[in-house]
Amino acid sequence: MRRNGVNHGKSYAFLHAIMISLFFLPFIPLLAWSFAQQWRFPDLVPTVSERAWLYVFSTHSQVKDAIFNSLGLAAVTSLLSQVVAYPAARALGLYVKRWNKTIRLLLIAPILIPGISIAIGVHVLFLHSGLSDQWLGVLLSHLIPAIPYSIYLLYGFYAGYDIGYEKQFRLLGAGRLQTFRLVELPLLRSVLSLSILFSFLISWSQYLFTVFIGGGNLITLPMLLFSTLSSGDYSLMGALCMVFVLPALIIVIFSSIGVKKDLFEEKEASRVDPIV
Amino acid sequence: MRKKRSVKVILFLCLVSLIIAACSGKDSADKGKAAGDALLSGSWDQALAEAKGQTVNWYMWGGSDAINEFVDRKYGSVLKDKYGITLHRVPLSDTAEAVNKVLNEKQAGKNKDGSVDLIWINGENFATLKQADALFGPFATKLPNAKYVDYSNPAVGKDFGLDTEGYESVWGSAQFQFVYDSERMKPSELPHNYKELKSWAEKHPGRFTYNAPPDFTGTRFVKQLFYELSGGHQKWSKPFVQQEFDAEATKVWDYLNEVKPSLWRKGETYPKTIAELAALFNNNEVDFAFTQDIGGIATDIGKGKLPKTARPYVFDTGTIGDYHYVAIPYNAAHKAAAMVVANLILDPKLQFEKADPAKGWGDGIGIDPSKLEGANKKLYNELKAKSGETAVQADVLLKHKLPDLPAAYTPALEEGWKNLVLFQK
Amino acid sequence: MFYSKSKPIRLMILSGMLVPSLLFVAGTFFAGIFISGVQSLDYFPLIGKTTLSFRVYIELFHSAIFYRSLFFSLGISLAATFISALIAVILALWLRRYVRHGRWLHFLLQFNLPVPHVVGAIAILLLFGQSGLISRLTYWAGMIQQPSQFPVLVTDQNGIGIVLEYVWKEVPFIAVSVLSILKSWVVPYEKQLQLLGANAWQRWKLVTFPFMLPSLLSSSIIVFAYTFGSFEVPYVLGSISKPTLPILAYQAYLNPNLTYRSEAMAINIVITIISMFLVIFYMKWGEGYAEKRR
Repeated sequence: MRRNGVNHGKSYAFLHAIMISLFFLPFIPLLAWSFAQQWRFPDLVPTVSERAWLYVFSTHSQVKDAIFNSLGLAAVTSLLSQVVAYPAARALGLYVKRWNKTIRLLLIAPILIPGISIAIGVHVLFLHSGLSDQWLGVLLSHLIPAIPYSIYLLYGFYAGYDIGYEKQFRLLGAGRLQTFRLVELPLLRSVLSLSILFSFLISWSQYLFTVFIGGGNLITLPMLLFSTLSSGDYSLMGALCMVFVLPALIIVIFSSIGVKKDLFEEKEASRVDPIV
Repeated sequence: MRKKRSVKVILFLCLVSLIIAACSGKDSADKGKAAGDALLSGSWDQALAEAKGQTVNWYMWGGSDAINEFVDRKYGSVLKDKYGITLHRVPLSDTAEAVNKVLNEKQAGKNKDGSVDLIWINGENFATLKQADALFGPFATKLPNAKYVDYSNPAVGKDFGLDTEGYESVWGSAQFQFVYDSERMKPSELPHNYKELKSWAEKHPGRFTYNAPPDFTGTRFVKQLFYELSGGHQKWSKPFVQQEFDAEATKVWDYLNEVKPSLWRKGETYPKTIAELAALFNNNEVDFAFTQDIGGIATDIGKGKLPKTARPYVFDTGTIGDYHYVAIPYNAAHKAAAMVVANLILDPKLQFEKADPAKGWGDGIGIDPSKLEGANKKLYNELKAKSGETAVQADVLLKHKLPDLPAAYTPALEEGWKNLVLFQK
Repeated sequence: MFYSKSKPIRLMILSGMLVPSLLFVAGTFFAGIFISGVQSLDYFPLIGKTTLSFRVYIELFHSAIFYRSLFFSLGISLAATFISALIAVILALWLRRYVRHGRWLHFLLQFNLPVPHVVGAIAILLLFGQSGLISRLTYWAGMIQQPSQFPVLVTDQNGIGIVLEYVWKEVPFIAVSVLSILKSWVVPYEKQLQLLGANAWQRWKLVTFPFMLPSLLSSSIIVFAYTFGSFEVPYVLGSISKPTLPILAYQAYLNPNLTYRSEAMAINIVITIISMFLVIFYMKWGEGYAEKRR
């Protein structure tokens, strides 16, 4: 590794340039449009107006409610999915030998099967059980992809986890809780925070389930964005997109202070999410 | 080993209970219906009293900030201050979402306390709900402000040829208009019927397109063509007959396929919405856009969605105009409050504000001007005087107004267009 | 818990750990599929259909548009997955050279992970559209005079715009997965090989590639499954004359005419069955990953 560490210079700068342009470029038109009044071809710079932002921050845009709902849902989803996923992942990773693969197949399937093909069926089901239009119903529907994803991430950790540490600690007379706090949690921390983060993002960007199950009673940011899509109001779309991305980005930046290290230097946290 | 068996058993039980749950549909009786009937037979004051403190969930297309703002600010504050009603606007990307929601609830046997209280609706969606017996009513003529509406006028009393029978109440009106850029074209160069449009398009390849049906205005564009090629709208006011329709519709498909190579991107694709068409027009990619706003396009120009020099006009052969409505689902939880909203939006003053592009969004009025008196009459005349060059004169619009086709033609045209024009190689 | 010698108690604890998640997945996810399945068989009491039939499937399998959409969807997913995987591997191999000084690079790599796909799709639209930002730049560079001269990259017939969005979004995803492997266990093996005199190509063939393959495969399968079933991106970037399978299902579902509902459900079942194969592939190939780590 060292041997490669020497030749920074050109290739290093070039890599930076590529990465920046690749990953930042798409945000430029979004940001610019959010401040545009009129921006016709071939103008490179729009005439400026704060209309879109004023609307976003006004009460009738419902953006404030939507942020609130989205945040609340995502927070509860991310925590609940850990509560359900943690024991299952531990059991599958450490104890269950027989049928292990089958159970995992069942539990992980929802990650790979697209939302649209189940959202409608789940909606009919929730209608019968009185869960549709309810906060609880929407929450449950967000858990459908979130729990399997958490199991998938946490299982990856326990599959490579050496239970010997715990055993030794217990033999020394430590309690179950103490063992968890002092042995398991420090090792688990990075994967767990990754799992929380991704369940949060799954819920945060969920559109179909919220629309079908919530039926509009619960307004979230993706719903506002989709209804703006059909209006061709690019300024509004730009502003809403920024609002939609920023909180997620902030959370990622904060959590990446803890996770980032592990993401690249430890093997456990190597799984990330394409769904969000 | 044994544990696994128990898992299996639980799984199985779970599935069985689900199946049972899915099969037991009809349980709650017509309790909701009885309450609704009392509302229809009682006095308006009773309705007002019942509505107080309720929250109305109004499901409507939510893509326009001008409409959202008007609904929330104008209606919302009056409802709150005057009637003690909270207005909760639910933004949709397609009205069909709300229709599906009501139908799903009906399917699941949720016959009261439904989540949708009011829907902004017309045409096909109304026909679907009415035929599924999923609407509350007749309530429209119960509203005090219904005195301003001329339901005996078939254009109002019938929606896509289907009698509204009081199951939906008018909100506003719209008429199809073409939009051109006065900087790019002189009025003398404009096509004034579909025949001229075709030769114009052939002379200017790539400069014309229309938004794809089933988007509302796209379907309307095809319907008008259907009228022109089949010799007028008069013969189509009767119920749908497949053979008669097919005989004339082939001309429409031929026309559209012949003009296809001259369209924007050679007709390999079409803009999905009227808004996408407007964006193409605004960026000088095509030379025509459409609008539905009777009050003119000033609102869209102000937002930069159309160029400042854009002007609307109509074909000599006429364009389709119609009314749009609000309806209350049969299982709505807050029917009284929904009725108060439906009544409020007919208030002449609010109707005029909505029609004014500066205050509302240029939507046509739903009430009948000849039924107005005194101050309201004066307000109407002021509104009429306001319409500048960004709007077509009201009397010109009226003169060129065509009725819409009965509802059954819409899916036939949409399916035909999809299979014989869009997917036609 | 594993100290308990009594077998029944151990079993009870274990099922207590597993049952909540199994119950949840069975009660929502599999029940949802079950209901979709029933409705796709034309069982729809509201409009008086109470018998089961395969009518919808028969119609579907005779419809040219269905096959076109199916192959279009598969093609888009295949292209998106392949291109993403290729770029991701190159990027990961390049990035691994900067372990110590790469903090900022790694942040960049992660940057678009939390961006929702819809936002990405809108961004691609505003960037690559015929009157988008890049088109305007080429205008100012004197390369085009009007929007129609700019190549059609979004709402195009070949799904280029859709693939662009997926690639933009999934390259970091695959790259992060591969990178973590490249940085950990591969290094000592490579060093040994180098000491033994193996050249770069041999090292790649014998160690680097085989080691990253399981992780590459598992992340690629996830990408393929996601792109195959995604509705948002083709909704924004797709051409109206080339619907993908999920779009076809969505349109059928939104059609106010209820007879189309079973068609939507049948398309959903087709999507589910194809995705089920992916789940099985995943368990088969992606598994090597976990096994090796033990």
